[in-house]
Amino acid sequence: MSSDTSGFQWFGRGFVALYALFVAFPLYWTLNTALKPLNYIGTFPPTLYPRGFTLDSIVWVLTNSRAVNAITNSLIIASGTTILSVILGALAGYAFSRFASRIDPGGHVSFWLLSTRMFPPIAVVLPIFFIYGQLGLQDTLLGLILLYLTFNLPLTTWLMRDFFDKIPVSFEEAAYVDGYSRFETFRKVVFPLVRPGLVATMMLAWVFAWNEFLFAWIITGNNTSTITTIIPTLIESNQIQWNRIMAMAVVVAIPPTLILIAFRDNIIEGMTLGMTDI
Amino acid sequence: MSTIKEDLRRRLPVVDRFADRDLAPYLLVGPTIVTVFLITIGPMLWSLWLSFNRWAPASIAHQTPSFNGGANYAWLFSQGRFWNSVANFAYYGGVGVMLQVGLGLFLALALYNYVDNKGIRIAMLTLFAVPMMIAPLVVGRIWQLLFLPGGGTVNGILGMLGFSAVPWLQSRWLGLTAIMIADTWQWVGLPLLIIYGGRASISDTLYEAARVDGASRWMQFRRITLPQLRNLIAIAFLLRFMDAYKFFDKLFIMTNGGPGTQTELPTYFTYLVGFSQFNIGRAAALTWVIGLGSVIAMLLFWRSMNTEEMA
Repeated sequence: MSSDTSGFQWFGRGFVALYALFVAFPLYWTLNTALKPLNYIGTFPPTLYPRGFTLDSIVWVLTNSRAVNAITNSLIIASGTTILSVILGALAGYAFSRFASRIDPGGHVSFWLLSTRMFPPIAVVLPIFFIYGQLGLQDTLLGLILLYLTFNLPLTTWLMRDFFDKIPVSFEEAAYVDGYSRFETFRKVVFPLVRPGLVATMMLAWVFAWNEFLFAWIITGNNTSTITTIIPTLIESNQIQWNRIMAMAVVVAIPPTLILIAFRDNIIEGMTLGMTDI
Repeated sequence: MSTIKEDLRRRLPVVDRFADRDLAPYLLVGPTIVTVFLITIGPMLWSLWLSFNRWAPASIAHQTPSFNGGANYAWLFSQGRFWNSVANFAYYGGVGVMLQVGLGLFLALALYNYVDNKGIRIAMLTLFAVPMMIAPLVVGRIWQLLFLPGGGTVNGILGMLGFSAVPWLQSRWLGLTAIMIADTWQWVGLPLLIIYGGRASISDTLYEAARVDGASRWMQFRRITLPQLRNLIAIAFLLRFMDAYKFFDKLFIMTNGGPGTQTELPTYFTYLVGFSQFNIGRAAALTWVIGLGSVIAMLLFWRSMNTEEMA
């Protein structure tokens, strides 16, 4: 690189570093707040480190019956909807990848499937609320599990199609030549190759369900509150319990963050709908 | 290699093997199509019908839906509150999405071009992706704490630097701006990752050839990078735009539409009409106006992208 680039270079690096700081600061502050007693929160000047360090809030989140209940509900809902949407989505994604010429010649069906995500979620939940009222699905775990398919099923179908597309058809053809049945071919040839993609798809579907708020807020009541629906209501005696809320935020944010770190490449590919391969 | 493959394909094409009568593909997609119809398309068609009805289950007079023509649509277009929310969206969506994509573009290129250490690059990409994994509602809560008018961290830090406190979240434009900052913090990663991936796949030979020809840095950006990334930038725009008009969680937690109704966005207004006033017909009309409006906006955007390409 010639010398005139070094100015650019240091400006670019400085900007990236500054932005990294901007991204990291609120994450740090969440932790900082969760580990302080309430009387050190909202002081001036702000305490930049967890002064009066205490794990009380974290312990509260992990022992308070309401919080534990919400975490359990969210775990069940997110896992249930993930299993359903990945099974259905993988089957459909495989068909869209391998039999596109037969079931979806113009690519309209798969696009139409994805385009259901273009309508705002409130458009779906408004009629569903009354349909669920009739079916007795309001305030049930099953109701939310099914409702979360509205955004997860198009996602898993789309992503799985993309992951199947990356496996050459010739592998399957070779297996057929070797006398494998259709099921054997899928189990022994396709499945091992698609597994990383499948895992990433599962993780993303799980994270989206874990993080969802609007549907849960409208459909659930006291029986099935989720992690996101109790966060707006953690107020006691007119005082916002910031340390407990941030402790809750930490607990809520840990699983998705670990998932991101563990499955980085495939998660990033999935987040960008298959467009980015780092 | 390729001859073997082609030979194989000629002899044993999968499609021939599983003749047209084969039902497997339909059995594979069937459950998904049926499910999507039952939980999305069907209910939405019902809500389209409801949008032409007066239905307010909480009032005695309108407990069951009764057809009222286009009255719901006439009502909402006459509401100052609706147009206020549209104007808010124009600001939040327009400026916010441009900010996110612009920042993402700049960061992606800076990271790719100027940070040589691969480990640092991967660490940065991962860090920028972390906020995307956190629940938007939780992100809203975190930024609400940072922006608290009295005793908030942002104002605390501004105070330590000698500035006076800013009444974040307490007026229309400052409230929307605060929400926009929170949303940008969370979502810059998406355009950044898309564009970074695109930049990484541009062949270096293009730049080498340009340098040999003496093209300046700006010319390389203008003539190679931008055209090559054009479609990906457009997709990043679309994806962020799609999220912007669905936007709900952060607004709900950070300003609740307030002060008063000043920071309401269309989806939030819909939520209040539907689930606080229980005026279902009107809320259904609102969801269709928002949905169709966004589809039209996206089609126009896509068309203008394509005509520009031809020009």
